[in-house]
Amino acid sequence: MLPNGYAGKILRIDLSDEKISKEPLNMELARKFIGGKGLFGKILFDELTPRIDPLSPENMLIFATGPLTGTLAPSNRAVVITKSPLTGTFLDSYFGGVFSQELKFAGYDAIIVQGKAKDLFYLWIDDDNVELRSAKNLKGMETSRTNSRIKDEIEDNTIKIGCIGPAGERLVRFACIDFDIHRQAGRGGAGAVMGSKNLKAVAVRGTKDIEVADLDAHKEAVKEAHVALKDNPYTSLGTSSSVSFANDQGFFPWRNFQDQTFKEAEKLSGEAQRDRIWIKRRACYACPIRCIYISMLKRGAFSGVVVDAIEYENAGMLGASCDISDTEAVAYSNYLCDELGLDAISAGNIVGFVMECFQKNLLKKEAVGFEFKFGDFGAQMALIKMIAMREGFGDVLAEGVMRAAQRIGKGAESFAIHIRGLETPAWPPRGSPGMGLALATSDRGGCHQRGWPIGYELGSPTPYGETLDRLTLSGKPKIVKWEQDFLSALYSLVECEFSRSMLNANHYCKLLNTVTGFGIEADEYMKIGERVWNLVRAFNVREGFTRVQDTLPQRFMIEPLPSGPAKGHVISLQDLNKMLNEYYALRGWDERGVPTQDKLAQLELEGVLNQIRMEG
Amino acid sequence: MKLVSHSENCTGCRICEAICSAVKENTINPRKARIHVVTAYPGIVDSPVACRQCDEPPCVDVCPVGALNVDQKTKAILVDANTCIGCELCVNACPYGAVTIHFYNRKKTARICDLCHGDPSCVKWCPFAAIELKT
Repeated sequence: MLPNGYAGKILRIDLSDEKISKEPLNMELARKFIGGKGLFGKILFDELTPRIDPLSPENMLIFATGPLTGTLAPSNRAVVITKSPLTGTFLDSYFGGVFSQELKFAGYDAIIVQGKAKDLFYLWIDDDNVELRSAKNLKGMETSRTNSRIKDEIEDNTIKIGCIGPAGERLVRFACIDFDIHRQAGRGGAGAVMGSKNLKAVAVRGTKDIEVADLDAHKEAVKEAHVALKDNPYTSLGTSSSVSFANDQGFFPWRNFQDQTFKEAEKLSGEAQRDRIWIKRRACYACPIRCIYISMLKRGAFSGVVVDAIEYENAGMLGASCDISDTEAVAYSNYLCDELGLDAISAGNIVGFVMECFQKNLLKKEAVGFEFKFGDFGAQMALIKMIAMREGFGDVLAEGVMRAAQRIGKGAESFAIHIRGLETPAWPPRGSPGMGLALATSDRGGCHQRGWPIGYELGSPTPYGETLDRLTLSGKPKIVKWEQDFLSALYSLVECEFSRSMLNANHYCKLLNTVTGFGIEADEYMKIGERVWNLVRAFNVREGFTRVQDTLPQRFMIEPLPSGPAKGHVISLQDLNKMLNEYYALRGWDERGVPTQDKLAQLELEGVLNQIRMEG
Repeated sequence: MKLVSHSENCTGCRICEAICSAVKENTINPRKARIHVVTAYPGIVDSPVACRQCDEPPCVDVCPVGALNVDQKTKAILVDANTCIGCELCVNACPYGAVTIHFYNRKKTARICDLCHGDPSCVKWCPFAAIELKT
């Protein structure tokens, strides 16, 4: 362990020849890119062969921590980095819980997995002792059973495990990785990459000390952050506190985004969940926010099942987008996704899409096996299982909504709601041009976590003191750029975005500096974020993504919003182009959305420049 | 003076373990803490467990070398690391599983909550009052 929060070591696994090696962390690179998205995104950029098939042995799967992981710092998390089988872009998928801290305590900043094993294996890391073990007896097993079976085998229930379910094994393109337990690296299909490598799980026991640069100052900085984080909105109701807000403001996706308000949203709200299903609050390692609610279903067919609470996104996608408001049913579908190892956002999006196919008579009962109407939660659950098992029509849907719509044809593409292949989450952009730009330019496709300008558009002053008008375009590219830079730095620390509503760059710098001794100020924090965002853009340019792909689903661009405060709004192609032009100019990118030589040089990314120049 | 757990408030975040190791061992390592969060699968029950300062502590009775002593002021059990031989009898004797063994200078030594001499850090750091100091 190094005296600066880093373990100082990377664990590298080549599954093809079952080779395990350890290498020192490059501290010069770490000073420049910090950790998480930045540092290990750089390693992915440098090492991954461009344009490979994401499900081929050549792809890399990186479980990465940051310098704050495992320290006293609140809300520290970790990330899985790979090339997405859903989008073909860079993928960084974050997860909370307790796994990444254990990895650091075992003495590693990251695990880099390459190749493909000949049989199903799991990786067992016991401090310095690392071995591959047969996972034949875990084949096809759900996530929580996989978790408990490995704990039985190791005879220690304090070890931490990340694993895939049956969906990951079957290469469902939106399979997630489940970490101890039901904390998901959800989006973009990292679970399919893990499945393609024949790696069922990673189990860790770590007993070493993490050393920080100045422990007393670190304690002070954390205390200060704890005070600031008191009364965080997520502390009282978790993410479901957003349900009523989103519905009132017209951002809650009803019937595959046909509208953005749901009459029965109330039944999925935090208040309804608290009355019906919540039994226990939990938190990730050392986090004072405690956004997790363990729930127990007490009514109807699902009685007795212990599940996670319905997070905002799941309420939106498995609930409203499928026109389902039954609290227990949505919670159970969410549980199915967790257990089978599916990203619940993508799964909900796809089920809603299939329901619309039936509504429009593009699909018939014979094709799917049963009648499929909006609001039918029995059909939803059956379809989720079919997708995870790739049974019947589920095999088509397991490819993601973009590919499924292409297979179905007959104009189905026009209501397949995705960006670059990643199913769009429950923050649709009609009524928020800034959100439209943030989604269109998000590095991993349809994702709301690379910038969330909605709050500013509804009246909060920007961090640089401007106020924005909700529906005009003015000032939107600037705030989207700011959000992306700020979050890219946050994701390099690696800190949870739920802490940012109460903490600012100065808080994060203080936490970072007391751990690492780097002496980074807020200005440099933002510059690191910009560097990381440009690095990832360069990765995507190298994979063939430019302005053409910076776009929105057709529905958001031509179908006026039927109801809500922003009734009638669309983000027209003209509006989007206007925002993109201004955004690229602010970014220092050319009109194709490619970072310019000057910009990359200014961000000290010279090596990156040669790479994208080669790609032309 | 006693530490009392309120498991209904505990979120299982283990900041008590982390801060205990920071204060007592000058490092961050939850496994070296003198307090531990016991979690019942699948996370429905979390409870911080530390020494309860029994009136007649079996760990003190069972120690063959007299390394454990009761602090007269706080009633906490104090471990004399120089005398302790790491035999683990106290670990087995404790009915609450509150004693752990760790290595100090490569020597196995018992580790028991000493109430931070009357001002426990875990109580101050728990964000949700899951640990209380009763006097």
